[in-house]
Amino acid sequence: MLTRREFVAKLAVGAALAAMPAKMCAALPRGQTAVVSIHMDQPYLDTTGRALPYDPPVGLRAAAPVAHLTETEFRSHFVYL
Amino acid sequence: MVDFSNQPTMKGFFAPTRFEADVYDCEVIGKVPSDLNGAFVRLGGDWFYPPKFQDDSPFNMDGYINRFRFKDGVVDYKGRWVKTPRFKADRAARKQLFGKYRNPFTDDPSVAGLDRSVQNTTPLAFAGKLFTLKEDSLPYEIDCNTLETIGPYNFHGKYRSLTFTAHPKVDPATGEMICYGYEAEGLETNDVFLYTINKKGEVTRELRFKVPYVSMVHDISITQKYVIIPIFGFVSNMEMLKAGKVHWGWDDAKPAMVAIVPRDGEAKDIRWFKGPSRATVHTLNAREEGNKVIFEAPIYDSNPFPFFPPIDGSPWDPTKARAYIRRQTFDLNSKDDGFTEDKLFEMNVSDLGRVDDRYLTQRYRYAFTAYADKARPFEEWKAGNLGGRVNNCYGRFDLVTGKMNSYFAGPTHSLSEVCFVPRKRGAEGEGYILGVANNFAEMRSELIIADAQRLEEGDVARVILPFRATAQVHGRWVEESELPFA
Repeated sequence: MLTRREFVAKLAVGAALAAMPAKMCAALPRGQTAVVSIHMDQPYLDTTGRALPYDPPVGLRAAAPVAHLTETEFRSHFVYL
Repeated sequence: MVDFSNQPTMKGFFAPTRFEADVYDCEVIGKVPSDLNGAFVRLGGDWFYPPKFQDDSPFNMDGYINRFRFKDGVVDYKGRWVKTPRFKADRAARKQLFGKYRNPFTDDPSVAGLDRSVQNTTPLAFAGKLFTLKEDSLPYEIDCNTLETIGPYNFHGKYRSLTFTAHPKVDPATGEMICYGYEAEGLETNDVFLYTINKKGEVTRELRFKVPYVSMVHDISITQKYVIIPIFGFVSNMEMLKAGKVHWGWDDAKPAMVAIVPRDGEAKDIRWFKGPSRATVHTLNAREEGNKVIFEAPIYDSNPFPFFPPIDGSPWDPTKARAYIRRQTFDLNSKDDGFTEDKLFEMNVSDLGRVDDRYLTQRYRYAFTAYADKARPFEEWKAGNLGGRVNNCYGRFDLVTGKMNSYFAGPTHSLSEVCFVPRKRGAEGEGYILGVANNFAEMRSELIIADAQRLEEGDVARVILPFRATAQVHGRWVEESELPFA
């Protein structure tokens, strides 16, 4: 059975490969293909062939750890933000 | 060993910054105006050690003073902890010894009697000296070049209140500072000592009076003849403190009260006015028009701080924690104690508003403050989901036309208090706005500099720090000539 995520990933891989310059495809190690990973519902193309999940750069989404707080909890700690 | 792992809100961008920093010749995007010579001094706080109590007030964080030094178009940065006796005691013990905000009954017995102030609210340059201000103690003098702490200061022994406001006002016509202390004779006393200090730093006048109930007296305004002193629903008493609570609770039944104090009068000359429940934490400006006193401020509908909870046990109401720029008019010819109030703008704003300080006590046109514009983009996938919760814009509010001009900091940013720096010999509103932005995508702080008359065009320069600057409460611009800068 094809899951929704797999379907989106295959679509994205196809679209990305179609759009990928020939030079970049040629740079991939033989026998390996580009891999799409999903982060925050956005696809990221991994052209290294290592098939690692997307790892956001240090610092990205630095406010995320407190985003779940209720307004009372949030303002209890962050008055002037 | 220090451990912040059980502090759920001290993560990501909000993890404690425990270091001191020097950055020589900061990275700048754009061009720093060459006519900005002096320093932008910020005061705020962070927890050097975790608080003893999870429900403590953030106003209890250790003080940290930092400074962007401007000279001939380049900027250097320096930041230092304010090394109070409390800070030194904690460091020596390698743990938090002090309990809740302004409640010594919750402290470790080993620090009984020690000055427990944290010096984290407002920097002040006056009479050639740099100070940190916190309303529960005397000012602390700071070396303006090294930012090292010198110690508490009492104006040659003539300032006798045990406390000193975070918001003194300097009369631009005379250079005098009007300042005060509340709970002036000690914890839970209803005494206010009001002072005039000349520009040499000499106390020239003291007036002692009592407030109707012990309440927060955080900020004042001055006119040429009067001092306007608002008090409101934050209440305190010794029983609360002995029960282990923070210093303030909110009593919704308390009316907003405003004292109009003649600058050269006596306690018997004070007029008290009463209005509906409000919270006037910070002010903008005031003036006289005939026998009326006109006072303007970003005033909250009700309690803005959930960490000072309602005393009746009801939940804090965020929908009432909104500040609007309002005008209150006090008729000194009236026979009753009422006053009128007008809302000047319908949008809610940060209550950390500023004006062109050269126009204090006078009719003026522009107010500046931050606000949250939910219509502006916020890139959650880069910054985290704080859209709509953070101040992403500075506004210039035209009190004559009712129009507002806006500066937008960026789609992954939030803004600290704005500071207005007038251009030398410029008209009101000519100059720059300065303020520090948190960049949640880059995990760093950025000092923005924008032309106050062209806010929509964005910043003219942005000073990049390669780290997160400690959270700011208030920041002040200090001209080159005001302090003995090296």
